[in-house]
Amino acid sequence: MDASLQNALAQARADYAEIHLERRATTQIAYVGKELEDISQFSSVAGSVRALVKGGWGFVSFHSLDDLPHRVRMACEQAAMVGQTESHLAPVPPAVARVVQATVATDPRQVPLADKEALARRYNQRILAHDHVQTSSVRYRDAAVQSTFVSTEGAEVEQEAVFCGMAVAAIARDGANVQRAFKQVGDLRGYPICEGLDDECDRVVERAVALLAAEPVQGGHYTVIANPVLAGVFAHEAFGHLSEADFVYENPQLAEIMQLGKRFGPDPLSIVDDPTLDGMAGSYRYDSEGTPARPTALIKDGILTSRLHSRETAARMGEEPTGNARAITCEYPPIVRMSNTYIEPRDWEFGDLVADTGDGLYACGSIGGQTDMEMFTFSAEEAFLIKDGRIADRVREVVLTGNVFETLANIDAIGNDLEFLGGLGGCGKEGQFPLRVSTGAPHIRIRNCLVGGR
Amino acid sequence: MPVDRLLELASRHADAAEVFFEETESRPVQFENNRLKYIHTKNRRAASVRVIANGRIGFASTTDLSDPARLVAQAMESAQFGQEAKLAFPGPAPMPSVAVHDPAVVSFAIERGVELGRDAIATVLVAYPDVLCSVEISKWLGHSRLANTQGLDVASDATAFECYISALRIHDGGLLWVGEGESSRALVHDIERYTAKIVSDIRQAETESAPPAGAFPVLFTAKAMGLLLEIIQTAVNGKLVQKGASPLVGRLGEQVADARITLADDATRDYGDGSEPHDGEGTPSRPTPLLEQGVLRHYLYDLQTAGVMGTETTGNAVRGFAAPPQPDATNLVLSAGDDPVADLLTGIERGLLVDDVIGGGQSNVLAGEFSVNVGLGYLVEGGQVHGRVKDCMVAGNVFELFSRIRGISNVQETHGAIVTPAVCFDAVSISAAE
Repeated sequence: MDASLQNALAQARADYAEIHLERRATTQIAYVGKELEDISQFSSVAGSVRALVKGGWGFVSFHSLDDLPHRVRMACEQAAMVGQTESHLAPVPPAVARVVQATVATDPRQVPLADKEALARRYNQRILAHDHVQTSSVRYRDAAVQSTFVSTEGAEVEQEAVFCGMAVAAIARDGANVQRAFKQVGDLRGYPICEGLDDECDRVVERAVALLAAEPVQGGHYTVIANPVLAGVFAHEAFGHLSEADFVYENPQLAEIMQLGKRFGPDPLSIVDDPTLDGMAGSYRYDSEGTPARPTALIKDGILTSRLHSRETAARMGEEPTGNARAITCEYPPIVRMSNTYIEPRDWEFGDLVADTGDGLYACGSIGGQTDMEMFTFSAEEAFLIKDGRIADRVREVVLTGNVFETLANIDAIGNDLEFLGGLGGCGKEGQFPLRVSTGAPHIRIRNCLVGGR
Repeated sequence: MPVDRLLELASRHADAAEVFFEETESRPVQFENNRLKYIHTKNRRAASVRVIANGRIGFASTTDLSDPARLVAQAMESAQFGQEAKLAFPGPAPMPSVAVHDPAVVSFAIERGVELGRDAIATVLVAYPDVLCSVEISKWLGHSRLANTQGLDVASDATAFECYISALRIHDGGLLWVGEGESSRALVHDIERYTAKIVSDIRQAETESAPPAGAFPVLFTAKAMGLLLEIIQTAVNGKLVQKGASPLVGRLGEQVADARITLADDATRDYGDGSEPHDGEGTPSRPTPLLEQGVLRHYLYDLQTAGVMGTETTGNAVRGFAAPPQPDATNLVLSAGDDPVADLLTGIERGLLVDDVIGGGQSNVLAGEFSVNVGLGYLVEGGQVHGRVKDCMVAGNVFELFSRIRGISNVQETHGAIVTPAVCFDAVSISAAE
């Protein structure tokens, strides 16, 4: 570890201060239609200093690593302008660790640019070869990040993460009717996850073309079976964000709503956040405050069990830090974030679930989701009516919305087929986007769910 | 300066080259839950190189200025695979005079930001002591330089100022979020206006009304119009048009909206959020009519996309941080109509007033579709605004809606890079909880 970092921190006039340094190397390839729109490499060095004085934070970020003591001084001065009470940080034993997060398979940095380009081109040509496909999108990205963290408490953590992923999309068109279908992969397991997606390309094309013939869904209330991708996004958007303690710790009314021990769902419902899973998009060993990662049971058997914390929110709520303070890059301060968030599987076979449902809606995939803590919306990529216990006509423009608490209570069946979804996107919060996370779930059934439509 | 060195290095290897350097500082003051929480200083800088070599385009970027040779080598490597160049970098040209630098932003003291934030929160709390406010007040200073092997060399200094206030109220077990603010290249002097709007929103939302379900008139405020105009912005993007993915492909000269709709892209507005004297490739800025009396006139292009389409750039090359230029809108300006907002409301027998939505941009935007939860909206009945509606979605197709206009307000408002009046549409689909 570079002694100049600890030396710079030694001058800090603050209750607590930390330095982050980061080296990042990114490769991006994007085919859109016939053209290679982007094939570029981005490299960066960046750093930041965060200081805490009397409960107030100062944060300074930079690309020039010259004169660290000056940056430390600025951060402390800014914190002193803010702080007026007391600093609270939950104690964490100062970590001293050098963690090389090896990818289990081929490191994308060892793959020649020509191979990556050829792979993206192959998928793109496969998609464009189909009739009815108006255009395509094939995106590849890898990002290798080496980060260094030191604190005035003596923590010293060096970590490396190598992310790699691919997203393929087909856009089909019939007059003004334009439909899109996509598939993405992306996590820390290395280059092989991007290979062998040829069949996925075909399926994406089939979906986009089939959507052209689908009727827009009729708005109203439905019994909805959500597939694992959509159910995972639901767990993240509708519930996961509410479990982030920074929304709760200074808000007595929300804290009352989110009181631990309260029932939030039916007995079979358990939701977990676990950054320690191997090689997933949201995995890490230490969070951005040097707190060791660990699994956190958010809902266990329907009961609100714990929530996600930074050191500050844990101290203020008198709970344990969970290692969920994360920043998308060191140019942003760490805030409370999810990692790999998933609904635990139960007993239902998918076929039985459909048969048991009678009439309803089978909603799959996710274009996106948003929540204001009470109401959520999320958009399904494709959907089918369920009639007499069978999957029937395809419908489109399915956007589910509802009250978070009522909807969790309305989950009445949970499948046995847990799947995780990573990808090139990620989670956005307070201007920090995209943060690598994964979501996971089996099929779930939600009663009485509002669907927008015409 | 790295620009000269990079251009010199790149011109040795490439047939043509362009170098862009950008250095910015932003200083946000951030209040959370009614108290001052963070003061930030963010310094960023990046250099990027775009080359044309053997007729192909290459690009690379970095924040690490220590190794210019490596950056050029990466751009050259990228050009081995890159798209066939259909552009020539532009030479020097006279640029329009566009105000993008406000000395009042430069001299704005962080301490003043702290005071303004405290005042704003105090004002809201006097009216509603149970509310939790967040405030962000931020100044931004930027310097950039763009040079190419055709002799173009333009430097620009710009400022930006942002203030945003949001309030969360938990009342009778329900949540209400309201947010207001402005971003501009000039200092925002009347933050009080936004604080007052927050207070009046909370007051208006205190009573709840049941939303109608079915097809009814909906008045979108200027703030909510962003949802719809951003869908049109996507449809006129030259890149999507080139790919054939825009629903407006091949419709230049056609009536695609009501004759009262006139929409333009305009980077030349003084202090506009998206204003620049020239675009990210050095093309002089100019206004571009998009819809004139409902007739589609132009798509928005950068040099390469225009080259592929055999047309001219509209000066709409926009660069993200350390990213290659892409066509995009600058400031979108929808012309004002003839109707006072009060008349638009009076004309609604039963319908909605929508001021804020949740879930914008998540539907099939390429087809012009939207389907959003009404984050903040009110029942309108007998021409009067009643209580807040919750648990309610509005959905439709923007191109169909823009042909079903009841009226357009005679007052424009600026919301970031969108300048628009409020617009009232007929027969918008509303779904609501039972």
